[in-house]
Amino acid sequence: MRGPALALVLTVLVAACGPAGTVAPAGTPGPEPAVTITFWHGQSGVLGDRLGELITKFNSTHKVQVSAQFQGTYDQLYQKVVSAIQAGSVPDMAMVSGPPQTAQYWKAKALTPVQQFVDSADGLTANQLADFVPALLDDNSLPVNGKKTLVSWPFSKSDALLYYNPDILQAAGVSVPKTWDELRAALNTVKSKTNATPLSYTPDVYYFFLPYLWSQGGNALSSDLTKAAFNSPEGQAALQYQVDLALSDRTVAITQGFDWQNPFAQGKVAFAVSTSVSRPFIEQAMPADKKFKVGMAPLPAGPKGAATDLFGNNLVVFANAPADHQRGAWIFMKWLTETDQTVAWSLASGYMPLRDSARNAPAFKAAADQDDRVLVALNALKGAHGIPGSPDWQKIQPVLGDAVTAALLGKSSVKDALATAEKKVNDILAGF
Amino acid sequence: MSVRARRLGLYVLMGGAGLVMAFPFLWMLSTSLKTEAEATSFPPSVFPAQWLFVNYLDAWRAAPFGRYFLNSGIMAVGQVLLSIATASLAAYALARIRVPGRGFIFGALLATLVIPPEVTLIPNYIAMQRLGWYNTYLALIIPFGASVFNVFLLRQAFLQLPGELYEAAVLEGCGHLRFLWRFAMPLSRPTLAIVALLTAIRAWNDFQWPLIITDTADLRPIQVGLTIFRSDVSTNFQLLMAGSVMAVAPVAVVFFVAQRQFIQGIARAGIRG
Amino acid sequence: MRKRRREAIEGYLFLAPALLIIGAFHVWPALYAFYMSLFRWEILQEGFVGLRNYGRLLEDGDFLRSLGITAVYVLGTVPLEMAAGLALALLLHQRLRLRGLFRLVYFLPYVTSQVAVALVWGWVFNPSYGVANGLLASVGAAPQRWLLEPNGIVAQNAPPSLALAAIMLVTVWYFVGFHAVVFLSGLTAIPAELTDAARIDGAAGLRLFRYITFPLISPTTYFLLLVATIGAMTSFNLVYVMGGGGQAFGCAGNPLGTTQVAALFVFDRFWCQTQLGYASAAAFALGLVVLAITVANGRLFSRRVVYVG
Repeated sequence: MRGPALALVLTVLVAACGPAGTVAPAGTPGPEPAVTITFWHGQSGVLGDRLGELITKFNSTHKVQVSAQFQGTYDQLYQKVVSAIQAGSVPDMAMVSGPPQTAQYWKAKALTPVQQFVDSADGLTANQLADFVPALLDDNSLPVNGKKTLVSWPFSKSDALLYYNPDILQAAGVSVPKTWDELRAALNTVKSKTNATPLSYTPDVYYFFLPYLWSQGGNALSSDLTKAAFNSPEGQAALQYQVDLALSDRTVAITQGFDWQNPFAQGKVAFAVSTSVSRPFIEQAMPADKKFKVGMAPLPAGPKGAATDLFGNNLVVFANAPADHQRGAWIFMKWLTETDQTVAWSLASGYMPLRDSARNAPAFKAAADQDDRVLVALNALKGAHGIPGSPDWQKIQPVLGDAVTAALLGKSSVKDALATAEKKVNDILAGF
Repeated sequence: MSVRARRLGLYVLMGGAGLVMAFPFLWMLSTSLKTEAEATSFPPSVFPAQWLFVNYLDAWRAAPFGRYFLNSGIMAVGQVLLSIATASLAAYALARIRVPGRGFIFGALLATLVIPPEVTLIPNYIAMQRLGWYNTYLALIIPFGASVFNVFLLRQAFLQLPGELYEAAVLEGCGHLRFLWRFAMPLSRPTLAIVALLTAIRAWNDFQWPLIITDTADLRPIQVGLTIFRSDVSTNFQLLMAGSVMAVAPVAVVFFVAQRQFIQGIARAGIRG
Repeated sequence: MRKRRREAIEGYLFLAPALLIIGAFHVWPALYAFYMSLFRWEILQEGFVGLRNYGRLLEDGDFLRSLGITAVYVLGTVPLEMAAGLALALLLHQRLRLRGLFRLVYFLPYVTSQVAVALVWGWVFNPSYGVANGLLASVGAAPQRWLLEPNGIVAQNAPPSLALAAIMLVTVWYFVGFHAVVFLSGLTAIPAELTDAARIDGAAGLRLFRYITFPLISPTTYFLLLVATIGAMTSFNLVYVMGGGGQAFGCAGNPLGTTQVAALFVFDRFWCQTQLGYASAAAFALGLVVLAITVANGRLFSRRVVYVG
């Protein structure tokens, strides 16, 4: 091979085989790279605008420049990222809608684990890391070589909450239920004492089944994510609870999609379940003459406390991006989740602040003083669980969903539904 | 039964069937003019209390309908032009040029009709990525730039051209290409019109392929845009219906205007199979 | 001789563009689909697994169920579409005023996009606000879940579910006009002398239809049967938008899989579960089934086709 060609080949080899995401020796963070990084996100509408404002602020105070590109809904963003990985044309960083997607990208060897940056000179001290809500860090960690490693980084997080209509509760003489049994009793009381629909929701795996399961100490999958764990006494109790509400007590109106929202907003329903960011949508759907103050409470507790699911999005850095771009992406992510920014983003978007120190920030305290509902989602975080970080979750979720549906429609007993699902899920996890 | 009674009965039957056919469209129009509250009231009202034409404006603004229509238009026009070009050339060759093995080639082309679209969907998706055509107009137009159906129809038309015409043209120094362009195609205008119409309608109504290879609003055609719109408006059904009316209207108008050619075209294609 | 060769080359050049596009985007992908089906292929192409995907398909309860649902779908829509289409065509064949208007109205669904049609019907069948439940309420009947109802209309656990039945109804509604129009041309192609002669001999009404009309439109009938069957076996758009679920990418919903026809199964595995190798195997298998049925259809019915002249 001729000289220049040889040199070229060697350069390429070195670049390809060198460590992805070159990190400076611990101690001194190097100067910021002057690069423009591409950031694919799925925040639309008003939230997209607010995110844009944050990014403008970052760009004006940093050498690293962020170019945000809106890619559609989370589903569309996911498809775009998958296509990009297949075509080899990934951006520098992107939003992911939770541990399953992170796990999939990770399995395709498309990501640089965030742990690498956290441990680097640009990273965070142990104290700083401890400021983050542990549940959120768990939500972003995957077992790598047996060790729990941060693969993605939290950003916009919400959790599932119980919504209620205080007027109806007062009319029925019911207080806000704190345990699952109290909720069931409350629903029965509402049914007997008022004309309102006690509970209206669109049942799926995330609303009720998983939180109930977790609140009993159960789990959907084994901790190494290789076997189904939901066909347990806790899992059966979780499903039986909903089945009892629907088929025995008949205190539930089952809806499709967002169809539960309008009746609740119109004051016809006592309880609903949704994520913490639903409040503005509900308020918007209220008729002008019949407004009420939407009540928000954590999901009821089981013997092992109250649990809830984490929704929203996290951030990932792609391994195929140039090293300095990856570093720039981390610098941006770190800034985004500093106390000031996380408070600002939370107040602007309705997502939760990610750090404990946010509670004491003046802006946040002022907002909480004005309306204590701001704290409900945050307080529920300590019982929050991320969705199982299995790359096969996309295939598992419909199976579980079918089990829930079959039981709720009375087509299958709880035992049979879960047993069938367990077998299918184990087959999926066993793969080839 | 008297003839008059029979006739009346016939009209009633046909009118009834017509109502069943048209009913969803009427319902679509009715809902599109209601307020959100009225649209989501139960039992549903037949006629809107107020005729809110502003819903169309709201729907138009709620999603980039203009862009969606433009994309569908580009896709349709692109496919029509390319498909007519390739089909005319191929049909002419099969009908009038002494190409060895043309019978076999024609048979092979017909055989490709049994390949169901799902089989080609996934590989074409991968191919679009590898070619860098993902989320581009190229991906929306080129794969549909040749249709065996169109070749078939045009071949039939070209076969019916009188042989003497060609002989005469040859004496004037006309080659095949010239003959095709100056004589064969102009004389087959009705068939070309049908081919153009059918191709355009198919392109306008296409859904599955554009769904998977467009990713951004600036490439999305109207049918895909409509389903995205459905998930965006969630409970604003009146806006969704308004959007649907807008998506249906262009084709309905073209259909009313070109009704005869349309139906003739379908029928003629149908008879010979 | 050279002139012949030159002409031949010219001919091939004329054919080239069409053959290139059809070859590249229809024939080659079919072969490549088979190639893909031999691998474990998720986001990235992983290992060669030979025919294991096909083996898995045969054991996959969901796939087998989707074949059953497709069969029910085909059997429930094609005969009905054709019969109703023929009936309408016979009506249209009478010398009636407003025939043009009627023809227009019957054909309108077919030119409308299946997406728009599915959205409107989805709205009609909405369990909370739809006019279908409104009609039921007005006669005092209980509201139905329609497109979300997995229970069967014949037997509780047998297909078709109410959801599938609703989609089948819409399918028939959509295609009736197409059949009517094609049958109508078939009817008008029957030479008048034949029907006149038959009438003079005393044949009328049903007898005329059975011995003259029906045999003479058999080429049309055969063609429509073929087209409708293949179309129904590979049906996607209507089923996806109505039964695929409430979200843009249709990866949710679908009451207990009772509306998952074969084409939806392929799509789900490919698009929602990112199992490209497995989905390709399913698509290819489906393609073979379509081919087999097309050939069987040809063998079974072509002998019964009567040609005039």
